[in-house]
Formats: sequence, structure tokens, C-alpha cells
Amino acid sequence: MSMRKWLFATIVICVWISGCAKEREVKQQSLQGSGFMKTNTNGDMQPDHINQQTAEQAAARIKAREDIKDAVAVNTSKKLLVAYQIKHMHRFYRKQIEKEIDRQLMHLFPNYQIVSSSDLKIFWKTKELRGKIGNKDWNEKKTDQQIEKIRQLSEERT
Amino acid sequence: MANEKRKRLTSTQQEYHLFEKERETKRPVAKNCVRAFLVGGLICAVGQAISYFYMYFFDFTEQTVGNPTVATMVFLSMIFTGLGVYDRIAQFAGAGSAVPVTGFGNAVISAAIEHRTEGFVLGVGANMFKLAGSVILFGTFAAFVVALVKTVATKWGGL
Amino acid sequence: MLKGHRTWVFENKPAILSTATVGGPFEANGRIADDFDLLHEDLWLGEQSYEKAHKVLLEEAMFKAMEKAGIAKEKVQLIIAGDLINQMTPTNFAARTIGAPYLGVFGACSTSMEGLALSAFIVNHGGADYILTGAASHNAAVEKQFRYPTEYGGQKPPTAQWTVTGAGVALISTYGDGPRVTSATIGRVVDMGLSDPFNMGGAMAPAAVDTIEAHLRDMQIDASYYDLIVTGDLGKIGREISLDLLRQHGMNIEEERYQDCGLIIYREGQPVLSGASGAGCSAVVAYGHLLNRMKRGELKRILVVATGALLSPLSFQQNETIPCIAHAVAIEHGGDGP
Repeated sequence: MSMRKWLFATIVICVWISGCAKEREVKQQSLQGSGFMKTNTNGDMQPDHINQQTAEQAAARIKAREDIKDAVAVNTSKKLLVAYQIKHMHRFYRKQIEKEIDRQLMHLFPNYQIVSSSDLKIFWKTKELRGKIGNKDWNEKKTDQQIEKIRQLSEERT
Repeated sequence: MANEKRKRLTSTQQEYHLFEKERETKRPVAKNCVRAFLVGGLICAVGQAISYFYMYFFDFTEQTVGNPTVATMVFLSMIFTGLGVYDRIAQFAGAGSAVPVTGFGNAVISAAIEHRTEGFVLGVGANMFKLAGSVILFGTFAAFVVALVKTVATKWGGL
Repeated sequence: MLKGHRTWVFENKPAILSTATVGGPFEANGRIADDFDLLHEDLWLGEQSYEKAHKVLLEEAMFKAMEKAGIAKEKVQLIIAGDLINQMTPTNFAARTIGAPYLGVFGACSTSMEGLALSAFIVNHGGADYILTGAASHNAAVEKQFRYPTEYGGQKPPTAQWTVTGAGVALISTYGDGPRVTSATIGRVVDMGLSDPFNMGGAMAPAAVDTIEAHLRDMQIDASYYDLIVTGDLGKIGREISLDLLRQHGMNIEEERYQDCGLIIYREGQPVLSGASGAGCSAVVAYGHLLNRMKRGELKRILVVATGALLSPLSFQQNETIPCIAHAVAIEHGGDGP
């Protein structure tokens, strides 16, 4: 009788968890990029009406660091949003790395308002935003708004 | 005082203690450690999976995903405790299931279930924190002490 | 009559007219399930709380015992029984249902034999004609009171024991046939300074040894006089320790003739760690399985030594050690009877 309860509970949990595997359909809800979970990006989205050169530069500089796994960035004429993933073992020094990168970015791009984050969600969102920039009907104002939203999200504490 | 009394056992009693120690089944400490490690790790892996779930499908960042994750883990612990399965996992895993937040949930929930028969106010309400009360009290107190130490250290030590 | 230091010999040989045993789901899956009169599927017994279910266990056993002997409850002159719950409320309420004069006794897990010894003495000396005696325990109710909530995930060490959900009751009388109670030795409190409530067997073994030795010495007999000496709930560890202690004290006891109720009642596969315990343990095994064996002629003389640990959850928290006690009662069959 107790074995059955145990078995039942295990089956319920397995079924429940497998429900999360339906990535295709459920993805609608928030994040739409393709090749999204892969951490290697080769920047094949070429936005044509907003110059992303600054962003490319920033991302390349950050990615070049030894302790960074991956980085992605988006910019408008005034704002620069940089998101990166710290290598696992270096996460111990997260605070220190964040400070360094912030300083580095402010030094490199003094004319931009910098938003930088090592958070995984912010990374995903930045990637998504980058994808959107290539679309029609997308302009700088929308990018600006999105960056603002992402900045607010990155500052949430609880 | 009673502790001193225990040390002043008569020689017959001390002899018996040794006699008894030789014959009692010892806890299999090594085996228990391995089991605790595996089950504790598994529970944490489940927690991580739940975190990713919330980050992927909802607007939670790494900073904020802790709340719904813990809530979900405690909810799961409630299901398992209610189904009568958690104590079996615990007999196998020991600390592996008692240390994560699911163990805390189990302590509160099992006490609540048990005292349902005495009514909600005097039974459930009064007895729910029978086991977890110490955790809450000393956890809060320890946090206070540590925060105090940190404040003093930063103000004066420049750390 | 008092023989030796603390043994009563019953010249009138009170008879155990009938017995009844009731068990729960674990016991139904156990080794001696066939010796139970009534078995239940779950721990609630259709009641609102575990303590109420505990009362029902004892009530059912008492009614069954009276039914088997054909005695109406008005004829019962005394009830001597007890259990482990605070203030013995389940037994109190069961006695309320029966309505007979009532003496509640507390001997922790040795209650069954404490009750039997007193009943035999009173019947022997004409204090009553019919006495109902017994003991009961309920796993969930006892765990709730002594240890942790039943669903709590605390890991029990291999020395821990499983409380029996069951009640065993016997009807003792001056008249009639049946196995006879011939003598009883009252135990004294023995405390060897052990304090682990998860290792009762180790704490109770010295008390059992003390009582067995006193009995054999007072009666001036050898252990071989009995076909079986059975302890109440020493469990695997307590039994081993007590055997070694007895041998150390020069008592020659064969292993097959020395058993433990806590090891008889459950099968190998059941998760009971080192054995069964509880006031109901010695009661259901003695009044069910062992007396059935006696009635079948397999055993002629047995000595039942019920052991009890006289601690409370509070005493443990206050750093007290565990005082233990054991009461022994000798039952014989095949002397005058069939």
C-alpha cells in the first residue's frame, strides 16, 4: 500500500515535469528567439536601421574577458544595454566582476547611458530584443522603451 | 545538574554502558552520508529546474526567482507529506530531506496535520510550529547577530 | 502467598477463561495475523482521532473476551488495565463503556503483565470472581505523544522500535477452565543510566534480567522449568543484551526457549527497525499467539516478562535517564486442564 503511494507520487511528478518539455508551444508566452538556449551566438541578425556597432563592440570586449562565458548587447543612440553570463566557477566573484565591467563600459562608452547585468533572464531578454531590432516597424523609440523595461527588471530586488 | 549526575554513574552502570555499546546496532554513518548527499542533491536539482521554469516562462530574474521557487518546493513538500510519502523518503535520506526547505515545510505541515483533531485554534494553530519554532527563532536571532557583526566590522574594520 | 523476596504464588490457580486480541493494519500483515480476533484496515477505526480509535481497540477486545467466555458485562467485577497515553484516557473511556469497577494501572509497556499479576492475586484471594485485564497501544497516538508527528521526516536509527497498534485482554476467574496463572514476580525499577529514547531495548534489558533472576531464585527453579520465557518488547538489541547478561550471571538459557514478543509479531520485511514495542505488544502476543499455542498443547509452561520504560518526553528533555521495569507472570496449561 505504501509502495503504491510512493509509485503514484513519483509518476505524478514525472508527468508534471515532462509537461515542461513542450518548449515549442509554450514558448509563445514570453521568449521567442530561435537557437535561444544555446549560448553560442554568432550575431547573424543584422539590424539595418539602427546601427548596432557600439553594441557589437561592447559585446565583443566583454566576451573577450576570461571569466565571461557569453555576452550580448543592444544600443540606441543614447542607451547601451549589455548582458553577459559569468563562467560558473567565477560566479564567486560576481559582485567584483560586475563592478569592473560597469567601470570598463563607462570608460569605453562615455556618451551612453549604460545598463549592464549578469542576470540570466536579462541575458535572454536582451537577446530577444536584438532579434526584434531586425524587424520592420521597429524603431529606436521602441528599443528605448524595451531597454527601459529591461533596466527596471534588472533592478528588482524581491 | 542532571548532566553531572550522568557523569557520576556508578561503576556497574558504566560497565553496562560499555556492554550495551558493544551490542547495539550502530547507525550506518557512511551509508547515511551518501544517501543524504544524493537525495539532498536531487531535491536541489528539482529546485533549480523549477527556478529555470519560472525564469523561462515568467518575468522573474535570477534575483527574484527565489520566492516562487521556494513556494513551489514547500507546496511539493506539502503534497508529499500529505500523501504519507515524505517520511519514507526521510527514513532513507536523513539530513538530505531534512535540511532543504522541503524539510522545514514537512515539519510544519506534519504538525499541522497531526493536530487537526484538536481543532484549528488550539490544535493546529498552537502546535503547528512545534518542530519548526526553534528553526524560526534561532534563524532570526542568528541573522540578527551576523548582521550586527557585519555592521560593526564594516563601520570600524573598513571591510 | 509471598514466596521469596517478591514473588506471589497463586494456590487457587486462577484461570484465564478467555482472551481477545485486536490489531491494526501492520499487525494484519505480520507473522501472527491468524491469532488475532479482529483486525483493522487503517488506524482511524472510523473515529475522529487516533486517541478515540485507541479507545475503540480496547473496547472491542474487552467485549470480544466477554463474548468468548459467555459472560455478560454486568458480571465483570473489576477491570485492571492501562495504556501509554497521558492520563490513560483511552482505557478510562473504555472502562466507562463497560461500566465495571475500574483500577487503572500504568507500567508503560509492562502494563499487561502488571495487570495480569494483580488480577490473579485478587482473584486468588477471593477479591473478585471475574476480572478483565489487558493493555493496548496505538502507533499514531503514541508517536504523537512521545516522539514526533506521524508524517514528520525524522530518520529513526536502527535501534528504534515500532509501536504496536493493538489491544490484548484476558478474563480471569476463579471458576472455569483454561490456562492457569500460577505465579507472578513484581519488578522493581532498574535504571542503568541510558538516556536514548530511540534505544529502549538497551535500557530495558537489565530490568528484564533482574526480574527473571528474582523469579527463578524465589521459586527455586531453573530456567528449563519453562518451555518458553518470553520478554515483552526488548527487540533485537535488547534480547541479545539480556541473553548475554543472563549467561554472564550464570543462568543457562537456550536461545530457542527465550523469545521476545516484539520479534514474534512482525515479519522480516516490515520496516520495524529493531522490533515491536508498546503496551499492546506483550498483550496481543501473550493473549493471542502464545495462549493459542498453549491450548494446542505446544507449550505447557511459559513465563511472560513484560518490560516497560518509565520515561516521558519531558523527562528526556530535562536530561533524565530512562528507568525501566519488568513484571513476570507464569502461565501453565495441561496440569489440571485439558
